Amino acid sequence: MALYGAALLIGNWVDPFAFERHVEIARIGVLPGGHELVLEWGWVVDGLSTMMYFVVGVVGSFVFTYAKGT
Amino acid sequence: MKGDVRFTWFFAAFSLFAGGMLVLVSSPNTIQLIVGWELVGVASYLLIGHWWEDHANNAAAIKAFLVNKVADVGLFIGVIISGLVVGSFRFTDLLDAVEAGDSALADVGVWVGLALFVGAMGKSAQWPFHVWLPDAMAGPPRCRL
Repeated sequence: MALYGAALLIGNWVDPFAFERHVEIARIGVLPGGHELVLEWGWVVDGLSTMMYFVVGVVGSFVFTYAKGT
Repeated sequence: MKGDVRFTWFFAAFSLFAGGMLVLVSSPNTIQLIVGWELVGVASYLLIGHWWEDHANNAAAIKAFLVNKVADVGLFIGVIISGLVVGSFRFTDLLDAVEAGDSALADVGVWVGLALFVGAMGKSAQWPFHVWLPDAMAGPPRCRL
């Protein structure tokens, strides 16, 4: 995860990109104004999220290594 | 953690914590953000109370969980109001509504912002939700994520 985050972060640094994907899970209902609320699952890959992938991956691997011990 | 009585359990809880963080940071909508937020909260509870034979650790875990739940009410209120007003839970739709100067959102914008801020205050242990953090240090060397 740390390596994947690093690759995404460097890639985004060199050539910024942003995209997101959504998968519809359920339709919750229709609001009085006509809007339909939809429950979705998805993911975002942009500058901020790639930085967070990197941070979570690196810090997570550090804690994992430290906690595992020798 | 080498030689710990629940060596495997620690890494299972820690993986849940890291997974919850990834769900949180990759979420494109506020509902998924809540799912990741709560996964992190549950994993925190499990990690703080890892050595539950010691009553202090057990109490610290329950304290952290309850304080976070109180603050999470703010997060829920903010997400529900913004979702109902804008008609979508996507961040992009929320930002579009803000940029477009949505009058309905403008009416409740401050309260939505404050409610979301209360949720963040709980998770980041800001006053008055700071009380759980010192006790949480009783747990194993978990992440400072």
